[in-house]
Amino acid sequence: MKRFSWLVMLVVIGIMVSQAAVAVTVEESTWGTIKALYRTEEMNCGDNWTRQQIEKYVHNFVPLEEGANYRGYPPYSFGLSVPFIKQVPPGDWDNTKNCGQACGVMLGGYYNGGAVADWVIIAENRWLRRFTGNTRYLNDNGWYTNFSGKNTLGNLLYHFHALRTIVYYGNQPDDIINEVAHGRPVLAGVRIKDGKLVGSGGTSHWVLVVGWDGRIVIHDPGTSSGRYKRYSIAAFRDSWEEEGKIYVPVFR
Amino acid sequence: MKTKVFLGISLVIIISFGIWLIFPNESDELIELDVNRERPLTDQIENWSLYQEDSEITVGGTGDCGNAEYTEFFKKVNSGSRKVLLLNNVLELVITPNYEEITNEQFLAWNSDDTAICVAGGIYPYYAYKDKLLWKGVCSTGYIPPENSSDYQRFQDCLEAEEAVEKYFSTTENVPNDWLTFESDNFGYQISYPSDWFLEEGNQFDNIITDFYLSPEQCGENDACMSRFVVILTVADKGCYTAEDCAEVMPYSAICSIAEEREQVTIDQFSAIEQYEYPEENCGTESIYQKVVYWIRDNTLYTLQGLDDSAVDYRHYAETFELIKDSIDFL
Repeated sequence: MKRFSWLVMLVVIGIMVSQAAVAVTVEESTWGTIKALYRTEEMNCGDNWTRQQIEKYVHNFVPLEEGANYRGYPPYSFGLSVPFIKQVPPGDWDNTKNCGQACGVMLGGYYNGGAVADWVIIAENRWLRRFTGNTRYLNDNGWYTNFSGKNTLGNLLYHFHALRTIVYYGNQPDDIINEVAHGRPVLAGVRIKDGKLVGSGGTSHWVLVVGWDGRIVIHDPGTSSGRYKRYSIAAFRDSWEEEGKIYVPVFR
Repeated sequence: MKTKVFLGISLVIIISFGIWLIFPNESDELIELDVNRERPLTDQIENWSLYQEDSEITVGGTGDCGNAEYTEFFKKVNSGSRKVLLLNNVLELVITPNYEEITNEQFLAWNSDDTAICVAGGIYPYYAYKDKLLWKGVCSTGYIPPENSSDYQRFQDCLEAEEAVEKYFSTTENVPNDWLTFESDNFGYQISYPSDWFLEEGNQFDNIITDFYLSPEQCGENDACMSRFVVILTVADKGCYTAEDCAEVMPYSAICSIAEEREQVTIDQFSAIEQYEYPEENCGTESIYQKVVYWIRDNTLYTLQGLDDSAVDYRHYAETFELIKDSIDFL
């Protein structure tokens, strides 16, 4: 009996030690992310976040509500450490068409450690001008991008950022979240009004889905406060349905 | 048998005539509605009677990041009269009273002020009249609906409306009355600039003739004072391949051009460019922002550059830049 007790104790101690090791690993890797985010923020000039602010965003994923029914969604909350950039500057909020380009910069930062700064949006637009021959991309406000016709956004991601995409239509938001759960940020076409997703009215817009905590977590380049914005499944679905439920997982 | 067929046809004709007699106005009304819809878009923009009161609509695009002063103003605007016209049935144009007699330059400056307007997908300042403010929605923040989607036609209609608005206002004289005008007899153009700005003769380089510098302060021999706008003329000869190449040999532009990957085009292709905007930011080790506009006229390259140094961002003068650009007239 005594031997058995010792065995149980050893197992318990073993579990505790392994948990602590995991915690240390997670903490270290998360702090690596925080530092990466902090660097990118410094590059943005004028939006210098404190370590506490960044920690709040990276760590502040609310645990899933116990017993809630999220059928089809992962049973845990998570957020990808995708760096954020708003689509203005360059250009002005009243004329900006750089939402796709801004998402491209975030994805380049996430996968390739690329610079996350507004001059990269301008560089992307210059590439788009060469690719399409359309000089309107040379305007500060950029020009429209999509995955049909000349496939401007798909080609930008492939040739400029060396990233691949698959375009899907239909399905449900849980399909998006399950892509994100595998470490692939997802571009989604939505409707936006005054920097917020709306189910009717508004204008067409690209956002990047980056996490899940019982709500859908996005990076929205259409507002200065678009970092890790959370929307209920219903609010996201309504806005996404308005644009034909297009979603595009991005991977390397 | 023949009689039955004849009677049948007669019956159909009589019933059709009867229906036409009973509902003659319906088709007339339809025609009238179509006529309304077909009215040129530009005719509708300043036809204030077409604007309908709508208390649901909000203007401003402040989100939750505008500063207190602007937020207060937008609250006032959004609690007062807001009249809406859906141009081409899709693009929102809104008029509100001009409560504080804001000038057009002040009004438009909010669009480039991150502390006033800081979100996409709103209804933004477009033109300030003495008694009213005109706000305009947008078609998209960059996303184009797929061509096979139901939204695609709506998007195309919106672009058509947006183009009509831009065309309409680009022909409106925006340059203030008190501005001065510089006319270059040698090079055949004129340009207007604010009366409190200074115009200085420039230097001459190889194939480039620097015509003059424009600046809000008098610079003279003071090297620390940098001109904000430069009008430069050059003869587009065989040594000039791309707009960037031409810029490279011009003052202030070289820094940005050196690191650029350029594709060479023929002089014919280059000459085909009528107007070309070239923004540049954060190049090299210093923070430089410049906006350059090129025109090609009679094999001569004209450029207007907005520049900054480490102290002052050209975008502080963004509206003035646009007005100066609009004022250029080739004689």
